[in-house]
Amino acid sequence: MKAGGGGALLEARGLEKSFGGLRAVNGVSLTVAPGTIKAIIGPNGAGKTTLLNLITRLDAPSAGEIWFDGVRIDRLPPHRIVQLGVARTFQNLRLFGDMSVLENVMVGRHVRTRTEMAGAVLRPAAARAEERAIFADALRLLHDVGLAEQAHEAAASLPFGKQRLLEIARALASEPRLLLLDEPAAGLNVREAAELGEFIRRIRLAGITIILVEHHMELVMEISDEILVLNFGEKLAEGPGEEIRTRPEVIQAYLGDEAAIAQDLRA
Amino acid sequence: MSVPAPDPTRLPHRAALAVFLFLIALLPLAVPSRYYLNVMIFAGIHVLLTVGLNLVMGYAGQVSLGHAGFYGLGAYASGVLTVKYGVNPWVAMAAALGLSLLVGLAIGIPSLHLQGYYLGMATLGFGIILHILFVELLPFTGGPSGLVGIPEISLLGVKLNTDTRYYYLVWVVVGAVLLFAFHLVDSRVGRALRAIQGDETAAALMGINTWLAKVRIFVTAAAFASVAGSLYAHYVTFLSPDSFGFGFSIDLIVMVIVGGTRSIWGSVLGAVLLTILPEYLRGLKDYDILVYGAVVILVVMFVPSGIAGAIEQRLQRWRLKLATRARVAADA
Amino acid sequence: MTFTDQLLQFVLSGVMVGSIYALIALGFTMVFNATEAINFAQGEFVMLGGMSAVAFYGARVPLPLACLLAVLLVTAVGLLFERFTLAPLKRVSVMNLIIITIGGSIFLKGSAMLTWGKDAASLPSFSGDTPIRVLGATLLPQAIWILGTSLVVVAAVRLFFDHAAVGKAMRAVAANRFAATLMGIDVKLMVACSFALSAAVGAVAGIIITPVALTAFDRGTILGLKGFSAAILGGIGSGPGAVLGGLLLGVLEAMGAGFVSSGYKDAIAFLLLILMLLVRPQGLCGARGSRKA
Ligand SMILES: Nc1ncnc2c1ncn2[C@@H]1O[C@H](COP(=O)(O)OP(=O)(O)OP(=O)(O)O)[C@@H](O)[C@H]1O
Ligand SMILES: [Mg+2]
Repeated sequence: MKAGGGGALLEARGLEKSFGGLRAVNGVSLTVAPGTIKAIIGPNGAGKTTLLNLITRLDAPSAGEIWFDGVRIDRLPPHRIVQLGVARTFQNLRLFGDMSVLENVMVGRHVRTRTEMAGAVLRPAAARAEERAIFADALRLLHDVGLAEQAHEAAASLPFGKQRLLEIARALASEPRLLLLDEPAAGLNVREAAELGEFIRRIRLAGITIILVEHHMELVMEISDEILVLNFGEKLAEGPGEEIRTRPEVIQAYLGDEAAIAQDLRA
Repeated sequence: MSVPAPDPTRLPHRAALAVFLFLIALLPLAVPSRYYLNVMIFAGIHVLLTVGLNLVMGYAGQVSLGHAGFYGLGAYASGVLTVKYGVNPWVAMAAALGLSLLVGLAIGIPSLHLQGYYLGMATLGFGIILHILFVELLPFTGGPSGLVGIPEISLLGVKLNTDTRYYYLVWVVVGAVLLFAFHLVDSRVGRALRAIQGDETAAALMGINTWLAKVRIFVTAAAFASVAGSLYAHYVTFLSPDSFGFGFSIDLIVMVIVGGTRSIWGSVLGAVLLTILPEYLRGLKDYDILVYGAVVILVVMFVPSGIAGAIEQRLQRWRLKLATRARVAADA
Repeated sequence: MTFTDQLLQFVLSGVMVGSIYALIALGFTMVFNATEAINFAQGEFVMLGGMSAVAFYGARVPLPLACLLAVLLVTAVGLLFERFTLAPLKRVSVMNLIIITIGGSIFLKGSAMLTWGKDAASLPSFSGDTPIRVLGATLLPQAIWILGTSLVVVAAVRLFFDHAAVGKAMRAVAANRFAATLMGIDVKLMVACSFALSAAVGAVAGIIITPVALTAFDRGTILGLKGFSAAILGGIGSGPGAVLGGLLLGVLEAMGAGFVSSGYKDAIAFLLLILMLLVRPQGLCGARGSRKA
């Protein structure tokens, strides 16, 4: 049977992941409709990052299935999943620190380009043209995120906020259909967070579906179509933003975490 | 799309390579005795080894402690085929290359799932096993007493039996391998390798099949090493297993690190310097080993990115400064 | 000799050599736990132990005292080695760490050669050479010394890490360097201690094997590699693993030498090691994964 019917781009059923005795993700199902922004929120340790890790196969699910656009992806290696059109950023930045800002994005083009060893060494016209295109595409993406000026600097030398933008540019370089963002606003100031929200919206306008893991509720409320709340690895609630915010169980879940209430529900 | 600005940090490696090879070509006219050519032939052979090893270790970040095994495999395959079976040296070299590719695949395919010390241990183990085979397969390799009488190579009817001729043969191959390497590292494939070195998980999430990329580069390095071995065999015409043991694998790593990982010029520099250094240290009699050990420690301590690494960083900073200054001037 | 006698013989000699490997592996383990580095000079400590005991003994020092002096000397060398190679470094890659310790091992090997020459040397057996019959096999008295000493050393190391204050502090450093610093533990000192201890254990191994296997300036490399293999086999960073890995390697090697061919014994040992790596890379007792994402 082909799942992902009903027009969902991503569909996960009964996902489970345990680390030793700890159930980081426990029976979570979710569907993401194409062209939408789905936010995943929840207190620290709720299993949000683990969920993204399952989708990109950095962690193997202990149980459950994941379908992307009609293809079952929970047994595919990460690079195949990227090929199908899933890209992500990392909560704890994982840039190629020694490489330049531009090269980081050029690596992002890897999956949409094809020069192999023979082409790389012999450099026929096609390979040279592709290399020029990789360069140009990467530079254009850097323009989009406002990092063109720093193109030739080492990625590790960028300030934190810019490294986050660079990760997004690098992910976009793979021309994803689904983009997973893990706390992209962490460490950004109010103005930067607003700019980021604007940018995420533009990404969606380009037809890219987004899953946004974020603690920054203002941003979440502003741009997401639907919100999924995780707590202790389980789905606590799912639905449109305004509805979620007023649900008692959601407020309850956040009550244990004063910082989270103060910070997240202020919006 | 307008033509993008060239990367100001990119060094003109190909131009530098042309100049370098030109100087290398002139060297036989300038050296006072054939002894220097003899040393430079070994240096060239070592460059073939270090460039491949650097691609695996420096660029892709995969520890390989058994590289000498492939060198020996190339040498012995060439030697045994020509001596025992009378095969034409060029055919033997090609056969050795094929064999090394197969063995490289057989070792790389399972091992390159491993990381760090585990990969180091696996490659070390394979290297030692190959070495033991060179010693133990007595009927073929001649065992510890060696394989003698390996024929010289002829090219287009010319016997390459003088140091000058062999020097040119070796360095033509080196030139080709260097061009190969410079092109490779500065390409989609090279970027993928550096990405794997930087963060293998992140690289996989760029859609890179990291295992396959590692296997390919590992096998490429095995191929370079095999050719180096064949060239060695036909030059010295005598093989002893001692030349291909664990110690030599370590020597090669030292050359790569002292020269500079993630720099092709570094591998050239490391191989040439550390081939020449022991020759100079010979005057020190047995003290050479002390100096050698000390040099290794001091370089890694004080120039951890290697000699060429340090020079290239300096050059790139300088070029970047010039480029920025030029842009500021243009804006004004 | 019947087949079982033969088997017993191989197991016995395997255990003897294996306990040497175990001691060397233990040295690797201690340094690895403190620094996350593989000390490729570990084998040189073994060689230095044997060579210096021979030298002291040759200078008419009574054998037990010569052995003791040798252990002390090598411990001092271990401390100096750490002081001049690893201690001054701040941020350094694993690869460079390996190279530095290799550089150090070349240096130590060279020093030994210049001091004592290139010839192989030996010590008298600690209590004669009359073979002892064990069931259908024979055993040299020195083998008993080797087994006994190894047992004592392993037990002592165990007690030290479990009960001595310094040992506990070293374990804390191994478990979590940062937390150990917060607890007021002098991490640098503990790293130095781990080198001293691993050098001492290596020296003991080198001394007790010398009466049966000779020693020479270049014997350290292969012993170091075997110890390293044993450490990996058992699970790098695990003390019991090191001992188990050493014994296993020794026995397998002896079987390979006995039943197949002595020339191939190392090949068999390494082949098994590779198989182990491919099937269970974390080793027999290891917990750390090597395939972690
Ligand atoms: N590789 C791992 N091994 C063991 N436990 C893990 C691992 N990865 C995650 N966990 C545990 O799983 C739980 C969920 O972690 P996860 O990182 O998914 O939370 P999160 O919702 O992303 O939290 P945060 O908001 O802090 O990023 C945590 O208790 C974490 O300690
Ligand atoms: Mg998280």
